Amino acid sequence: MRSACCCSLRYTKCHMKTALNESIEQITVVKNPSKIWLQTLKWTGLFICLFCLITFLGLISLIYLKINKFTNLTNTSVGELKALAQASWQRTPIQTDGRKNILILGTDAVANRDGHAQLTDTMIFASIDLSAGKIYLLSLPRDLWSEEYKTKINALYVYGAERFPNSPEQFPQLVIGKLLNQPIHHTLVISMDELSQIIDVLEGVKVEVAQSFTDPEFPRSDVDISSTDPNVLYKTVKFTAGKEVMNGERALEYIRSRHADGETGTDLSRSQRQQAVIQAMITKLMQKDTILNIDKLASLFNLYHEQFAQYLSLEELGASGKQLYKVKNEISLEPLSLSLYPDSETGVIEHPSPKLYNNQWVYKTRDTEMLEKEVKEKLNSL
Amino acid sequence: MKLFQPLSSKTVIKILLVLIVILAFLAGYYRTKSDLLTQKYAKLLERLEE
Repeated sequence: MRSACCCSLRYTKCHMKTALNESIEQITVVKNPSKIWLQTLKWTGLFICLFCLITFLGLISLIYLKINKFTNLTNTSVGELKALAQASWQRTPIQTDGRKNILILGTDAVANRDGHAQLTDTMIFASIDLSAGKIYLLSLPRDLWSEEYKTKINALYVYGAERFPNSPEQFPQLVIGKLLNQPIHHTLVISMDELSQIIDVLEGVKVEVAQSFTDPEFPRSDVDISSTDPNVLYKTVKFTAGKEVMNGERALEYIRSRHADGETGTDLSRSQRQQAVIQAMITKLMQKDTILNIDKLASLFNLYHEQFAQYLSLEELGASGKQLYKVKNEISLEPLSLSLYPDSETGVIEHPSPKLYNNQWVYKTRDTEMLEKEVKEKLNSL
Repeated sequence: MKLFQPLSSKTVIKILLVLIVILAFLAGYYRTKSDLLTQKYAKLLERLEE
């Protein structure tokens, strides 16, 4: 009796379930498939708008956070940055015939040598064609003799301190501008330590080492120079041809070395190495991982503001950058040097007998007009 | 040669847009499907009440 009852209940349950399923199957929402797709598309459109809005808000927050971080790291306010950007935007960079000429003076004021005169052993005349994006780097030999002032041009900065105590760089600017017959709009003075700092902020630069060389007499920077022991004063530095990522210290060794054997020990080779490092620095500065890295950018901003803004203001730098940005894909660097006689028949500088110059090893200009002509031609070579 | 080359910003934006469209389509598709099911079960409930 009990099992019959159970069977009947099970049958009823089963029957109800089948009926319910049939009922669900029978229910079809009367809708045209094209209308369903239309509905899907409508929702898709709505979600696209929603996701775009979320992405946009995310980007705004990210930019806000980055600006906030930058202002904190540089101790500036958003208002100051805005004013700087506005001033740069409205300003027309100082230039002559579309070119901005900058004289770069590298002083060798390494540690423990503060008492020594700051000779500018690196002298580069940079001419920037702002509309074409061409950057010409003309290295000037530090031993070039100035007939007018009876001195090597690397001592002009020292004499400038007497003539223009507040801005000694004005003196080399005047003399070299006259020598090359080119207007010089700004003079940047950079010490080896500052150069090393910039390279370290950039987390190293990739330099193409043209020729392998070994310098057994590279001066150590962290020693007492009153010592006479060569092992204390000097160390050996080695470079192998090919690409090398150099930190600040290594890059300084590369550009300061001058006691290698053969051609690599010459002043010309040294100036070529300096140009290679500058090239590598500019390339690294223009890379996205530098521009978009707020920490690097803030450190560079602080360094520039403290050390170089007095020579080339941030507004002027921004205005020049704005003009160069228009031709960013055309930007190229052209390293140049003055031709040497007798290596070249038409060389514009020569090495005269030291006896004529108080036993000093110098370069002298063969003919002023020839030199001016060569400089003009080389600056229009691209 | 590096195994993973860094993507250019243009490529990143393109990928982001494609992802947004795909996600939005999926969201739209399942939202419509869910609407239809809701309607279907609403009608079922109606019938059961009857």
